Amino acid sequence: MSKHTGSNSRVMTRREFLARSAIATIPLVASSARAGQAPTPAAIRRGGMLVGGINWTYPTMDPHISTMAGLPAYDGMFDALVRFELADAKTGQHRIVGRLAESWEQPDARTYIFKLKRGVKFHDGSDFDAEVARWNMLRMRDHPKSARKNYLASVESVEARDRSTLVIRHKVARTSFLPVLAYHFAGRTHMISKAAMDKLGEEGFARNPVGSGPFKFKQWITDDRIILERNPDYHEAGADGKPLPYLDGVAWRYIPDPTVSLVDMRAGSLQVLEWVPTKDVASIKADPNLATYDMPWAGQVYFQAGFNMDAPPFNNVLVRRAAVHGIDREGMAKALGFGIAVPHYYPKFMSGALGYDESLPKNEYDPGKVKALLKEAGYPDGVSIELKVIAREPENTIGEFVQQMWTNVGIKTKLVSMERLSWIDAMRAKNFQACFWRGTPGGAVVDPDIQKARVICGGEFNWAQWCDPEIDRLMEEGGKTLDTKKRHETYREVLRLIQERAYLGTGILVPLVTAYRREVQGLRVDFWVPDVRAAWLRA
Amino acid sequence: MPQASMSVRVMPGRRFRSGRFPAFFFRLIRIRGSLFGVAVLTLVLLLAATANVISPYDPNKTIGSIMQTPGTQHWLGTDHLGRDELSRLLYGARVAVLAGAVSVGLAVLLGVIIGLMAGYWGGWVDDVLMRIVDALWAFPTLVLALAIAASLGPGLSNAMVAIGIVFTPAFARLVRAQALSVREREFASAARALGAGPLRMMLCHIWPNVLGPIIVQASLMIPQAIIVEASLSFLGLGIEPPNPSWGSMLRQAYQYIERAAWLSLFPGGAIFVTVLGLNLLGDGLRVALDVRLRQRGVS
Amino acid sequence: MARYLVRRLLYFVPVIFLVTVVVFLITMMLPGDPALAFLGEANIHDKVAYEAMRKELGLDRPLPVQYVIWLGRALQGDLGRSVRTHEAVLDALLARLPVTIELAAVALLIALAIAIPVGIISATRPNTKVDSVATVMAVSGVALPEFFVGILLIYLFAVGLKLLPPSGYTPLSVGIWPNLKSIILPALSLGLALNAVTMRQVRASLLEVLQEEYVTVARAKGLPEGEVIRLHALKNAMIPVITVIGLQIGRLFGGTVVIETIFAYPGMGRLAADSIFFRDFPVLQGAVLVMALAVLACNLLTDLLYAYVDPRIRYA
Repeated sequence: MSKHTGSNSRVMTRREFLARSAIATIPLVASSARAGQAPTPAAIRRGGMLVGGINWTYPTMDPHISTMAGLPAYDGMFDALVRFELADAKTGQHRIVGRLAESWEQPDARTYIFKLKRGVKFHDGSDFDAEVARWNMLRMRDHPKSARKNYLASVESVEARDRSTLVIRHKVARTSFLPVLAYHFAGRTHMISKAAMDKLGEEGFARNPVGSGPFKFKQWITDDRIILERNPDYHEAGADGKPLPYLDGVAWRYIPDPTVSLVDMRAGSLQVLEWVPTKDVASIKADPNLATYDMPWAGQVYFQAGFNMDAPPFNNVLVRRAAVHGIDREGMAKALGFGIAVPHYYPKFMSGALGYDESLPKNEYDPGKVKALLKEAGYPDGVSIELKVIAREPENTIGEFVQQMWTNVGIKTKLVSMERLSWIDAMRAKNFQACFWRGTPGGAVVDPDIQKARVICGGEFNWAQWCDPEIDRLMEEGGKTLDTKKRHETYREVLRLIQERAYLGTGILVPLVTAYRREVQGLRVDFWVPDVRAAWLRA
Repeated sequence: MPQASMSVRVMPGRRFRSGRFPAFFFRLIRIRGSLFGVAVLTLVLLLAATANVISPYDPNKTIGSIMQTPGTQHWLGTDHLGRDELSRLLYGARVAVLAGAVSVGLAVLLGVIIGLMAGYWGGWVDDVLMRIVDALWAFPTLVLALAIAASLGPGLSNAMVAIGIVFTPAFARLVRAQALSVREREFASAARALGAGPLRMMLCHIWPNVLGPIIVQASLMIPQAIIVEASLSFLGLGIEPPNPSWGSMLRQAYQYIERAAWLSLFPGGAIFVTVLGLNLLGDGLRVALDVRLRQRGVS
Repeated sequence: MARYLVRRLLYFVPVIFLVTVVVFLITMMLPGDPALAFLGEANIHDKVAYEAMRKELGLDRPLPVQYVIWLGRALQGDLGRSVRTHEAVLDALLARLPVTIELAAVALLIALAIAIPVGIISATRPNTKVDSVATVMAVSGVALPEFFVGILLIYLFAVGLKLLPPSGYTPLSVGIWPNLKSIILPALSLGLALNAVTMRQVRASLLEVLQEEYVTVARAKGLPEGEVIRLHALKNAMIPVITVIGLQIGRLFGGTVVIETIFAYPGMGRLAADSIFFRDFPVLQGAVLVMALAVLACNLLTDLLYAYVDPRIRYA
């Protein structure tokens, strides 16, 4: 079929669907982000320790098992076959670029052949070759505790044809495999050293990881910080011709309280902050010492609402549609968005994704319609429901807003704020009426097939456990179809069904913002995960 | 969690007869600080009782735009969701009273029962009960409160039960100590010789002696209950949103401390004044009830 | 004295057992299935993996059996592994304990440094304005929730004065000064609370002692006031103060959760709280056990110190 080298990609063809992009209104990458420009060798200053801040804690250093795949330290220690590179900051277009894979081709609908980079060594000296890559992919697919095995479930066989050729065959035609391999929250397979795993065992490796990345593991103080040091033999070179990284090391600190992490940024004891809370974006931008990297394509949806379809009142589609029409997105943006949020109408999809079509019904805020629908459903005096949410910020504040919002239009809402595991349990046991969480539709922009686990019957990330066999069939088909136009039609149908049957509600889209101090140069972002391999500290 | 010492020595057989209360009261408020404490207590009780009458708005409803500075329409401004801060503060007083009274009330109830049984019967009853009490006492306080609240589920009532259980050991020990000391006294054996049963012993002899220290301890632990509820809110338990408690208001407000400092100032100030007042009141009660100190003319 | 010590130790042993039983009861009561929690979202439909997880967690056995197994291992020093991070529980505890101990020690020093002088001043000038101010200042230490005190201190010292780092623990191995800088603010938050109780106790017991006859005699003999306080009054006044401090220090081990969360401190409090939220029961058991031991050890030390200082008990 077609042969792709490292810097070409089919993702480009989606340009046409971004014409009416809503993200144009969000201020994009600040002028201070020189991420795209190549630095002059003279300007680079080697050395120094970078301290970054994260707001969630790592459970393990084994990247296949870790449920927190998107945390920066993994990218520091491990490389994957492919990665994302921002092609157009204005539209959020990304292209897929090889890291450990130099090139790839797809001879037929089910087969992918990767040519691997030669001469890559792991931190323990062992070689990276197709055998090791094969072992990694199968481990990711088969390990009982693999966190994202469902993304590789379609892989039938992985073959190491020679030392640097990897052949992956799927059970059925698979179109979205490359984006899946690149996306952190999908099938991105961080390559780990088999020799190290053999030597240390599962539990040993989980605390002493060995990869091939720009940084070597130094120390992990659980729930406090992870310290990485420079890998002098890294296989990518910097602008000065010497191997990356420029830094001597990087420490990622876990700071539980976002307010305090902000203070740390200002005080300089943190130089990079992975995610800035929405309410603080404006004050960070106003600080002359700080800069931001805005990622509207990696936005977060405040208020991704789910309904229990097995019990009244939401087993009635009319009530669900009433609830969706009762979502006051403008009001939500004003109250919770702090100037950077936009209304979001299409659950699980985002502009830029295949299937996204703004001519589909938006289910806009319409109190009159809410009343009419409720009346038609047999609730002329309104309906009383419980809304279950995880007890943390900002979910609590969002919940308080929604509680009033719905109560004002006749859906009397009682907010039930539960601790995280109790909430997850309630979802699994279908012990709820309405619930919500913060969603990330960015996967749809990468490829809607990534959203599969969130929308199919029994999907692992389908929190509200709604089910529509029609949608399952369509998602299945979309994953197999090769023709982009046909795929767009298929996913568009999925979205149409979601809107018509009101399976999900959605509120506002808040772009992800990473902040960094101005002395940090060369910070890149791999879709939404900070990448410091080419970063250096200005004097 | 800091707690005051409990050494109060009271003469045996003292009771609070109606005629003595006004005298006691006037003695109390002459003690430095107690007047302030009594004033604060009265004010908080008053506000809590009349919150629904004097609140200008519904505390859980968004009335104005978010984070308005204090002004004519909203005397204390609005919070991060546009709700009237003053109304929320008033209803928060209710929660403060509830949280304090119910949790400490529960602790007193459980503590008295356990303490009386342990102190009066002694022997293996005492051993078993006190070891259980000590086990609870040795358990890290906030962790225990957290664990109980997490097990019971979200909400203020569950938080209050959790705090009550955590506070029980203090009262149990207090009551037990008094019960033991009374048991040893001569008049007790005399009473028993005259045929007084356990219930009569407990009610007529132990209880009056225990009442004073309990009141003092309770007045020092009620403000702590308010603080613990705030800590539980901070950790994701405590009162269920959107209902206001001073602790949860503070917990949400401190995130906006740069933009809207008054949002932290008002609930923080309320907590501060209430805790300060109740502590001073407790100190005063301790002195007022300690006959020995009074006899020496020290306060 | 030795008999006293042995008696106290024997008393504590069942209490420790009871603490572990209480933890087991708690783990029973906490809602949620820990096996599902640790499988991760991707595997919740995998029945085989679920059963394997249950077996790994030991959940396939009845609860009393689980307890006995855990107890047996614990007595041999094997506290198991964290289900979340696979770190040996003992290692996790040993990593955190020094942090919490240092925090408690510095907090105690701060509290004493304020409480004793202020308490003395207060007791020697009872019912004056100085006394009032001192008492109000002391009580203020417990008058605000700890997270708020922490935030205020951070804004004052890290943002306003730019003197100290806002959060994080710098171990002694990096350097004494950086370590101290990282510990002052959280220790101050804790110390202010500790000070509240301690100062009032110092004042109260010193007041009482100053009324004793032997003090009057000392004054009548013509001893200067400073010496009266130092040589006679203070020593006896310190007895109840020691008791109070001992009680508070023990409590400190469990009450640091909020401070550790605000200041991003890798201490025991956060470990215990996180283990509840993550249903990491081996860690919860281990952490609570250590903290309870710390409390009981402090109580014991206090009792011993008390017995040593108060001759009436020593010779009992």
